[in-house]
Amino acid sequence: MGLLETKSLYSGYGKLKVLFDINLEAREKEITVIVGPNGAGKTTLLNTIAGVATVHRGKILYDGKNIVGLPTHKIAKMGIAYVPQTGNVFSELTVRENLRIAGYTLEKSEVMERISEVLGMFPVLEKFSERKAGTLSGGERRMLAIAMGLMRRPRVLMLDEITTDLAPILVKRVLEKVVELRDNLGLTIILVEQMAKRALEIGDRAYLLVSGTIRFEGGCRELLEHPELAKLYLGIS
Amino acid sequence: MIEPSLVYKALAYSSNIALMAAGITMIYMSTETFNFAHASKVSWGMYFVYTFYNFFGGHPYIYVPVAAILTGLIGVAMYLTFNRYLLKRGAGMITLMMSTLGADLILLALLNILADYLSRVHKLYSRQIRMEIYDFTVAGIPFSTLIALIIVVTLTASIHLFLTKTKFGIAMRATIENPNLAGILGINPELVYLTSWFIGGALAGLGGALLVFIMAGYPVIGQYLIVTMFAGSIVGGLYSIYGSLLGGFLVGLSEYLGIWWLSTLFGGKMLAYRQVIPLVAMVVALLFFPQGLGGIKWGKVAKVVRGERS
Repeated sequence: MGLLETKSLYSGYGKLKVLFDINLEAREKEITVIVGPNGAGKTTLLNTIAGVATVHRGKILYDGKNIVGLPTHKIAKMGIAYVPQTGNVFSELTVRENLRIAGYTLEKSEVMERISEVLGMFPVLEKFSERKAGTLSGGERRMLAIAMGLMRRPRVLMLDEITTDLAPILVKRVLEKVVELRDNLGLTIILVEQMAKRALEIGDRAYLLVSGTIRFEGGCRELLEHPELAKLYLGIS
Repeated sequence: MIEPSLVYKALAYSSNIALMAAGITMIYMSTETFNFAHASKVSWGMYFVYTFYNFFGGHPYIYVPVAAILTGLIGVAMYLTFNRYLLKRGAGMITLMMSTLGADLILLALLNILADYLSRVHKLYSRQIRMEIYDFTVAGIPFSTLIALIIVVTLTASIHLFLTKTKFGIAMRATIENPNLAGILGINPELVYLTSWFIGGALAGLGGALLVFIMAGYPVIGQYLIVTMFAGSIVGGLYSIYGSLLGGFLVGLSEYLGIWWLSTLFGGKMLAYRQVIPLVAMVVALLFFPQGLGGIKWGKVAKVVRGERS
């Protein structure tokens, strides 16, 4: 049984239906990769799990407990961290304030400890700690967003296209960091990526989402080597 | 020659307008609601002081904090009864604004009931309350002026410390900027909105409660002052508490001293145009600073003043 599962999930935004009959399983200490063409509903899936989108039908089980209907902040407190693709840092707050607020649910002493910890993971952020996040470059902002996601040391970390707009060297570094988080901290990671090949290379389990439905479910290697789907939907030949 | 007493009153009046404008901004920043019910909350602030003083005695100044807390609770009730539901349903700015107009009418009706009750049952002259006689001086300065200035300065410093140093203050700024992300990080946006409505309401009541010591109060006094309060908030830039405090103070000061100056030049008939002054002040300020006083880069201004290169 996965740490996080969706059962016959139908969701969208208000009355708009985006996802249909989604059955997903994110296993503990594994990287679950979700790939698919634009508009497939990948971001909506993460938004639904985080409590931002509307669930029309179905269940989302976290550690066996149905979390459908819970407000976003309660889902976050349960140990599910989410780094959205856009709007993932507070531009008007300094880097340190962003980190501090990312540890909102923690004790004060713990917050300081975690800030040092995540700044150690992303040393580039250390020298900008008193700068407003809005003044950071795209790559630095992504680093900050991931660091914010890690502040609470969650059990599940959902990352939505974190490598978008990053320089190739940074993409490599960020994906290496994701692997480290699984291997060293034992996090369960759900990774949504446009760079399908790279994501599938580091992942354990894969889902191919097309027009709001799951077209493939299985091992990452299996999808990478699929003669038809990999070429048709992911541009991998 | 301008009388010192007039200056003192102008300072007290503008400080109180600054508090009211800050209340409007606080609620607008967090929930994007232009709160017209701020008008009646100001009047309620005045009447709370008047009523408690007549019922329980002591010095009327002791009821000022009580009035602020009670009007803060009116703000909480407004948020919980309708603003919260309208926000959840994605209501637009016009709907939110009109809902507060409805609430203002209800609060005004209730205040009129209180005024009638006080006059008919307790034989108080409650349709026009006057409490200036209870004001006193400290080192030659009226207490109403001193306390209003002290509160504005203290409030500015406290708000700054609260918003930059405390966990909940930073959470408030974060929620105002991006409520969805705040929720994802475990912050309850509703708690932030509720607090904003409490603080906003308390500032309206505090302004009204202090104003009763420098001018006559009546149930519609808030509706009379609402133009000035909004002008102060808009001049402040609508998204800056500090800007609204400064904007409210300057608009209030220009209104109070401006009408005195015009009356001296053209006679008493100019008093009818008193409410035009805040609007003119608002237009002029926005012509020079389109984003309001809160949008000015004060650091750069300081550098220019010091003669440094920007």
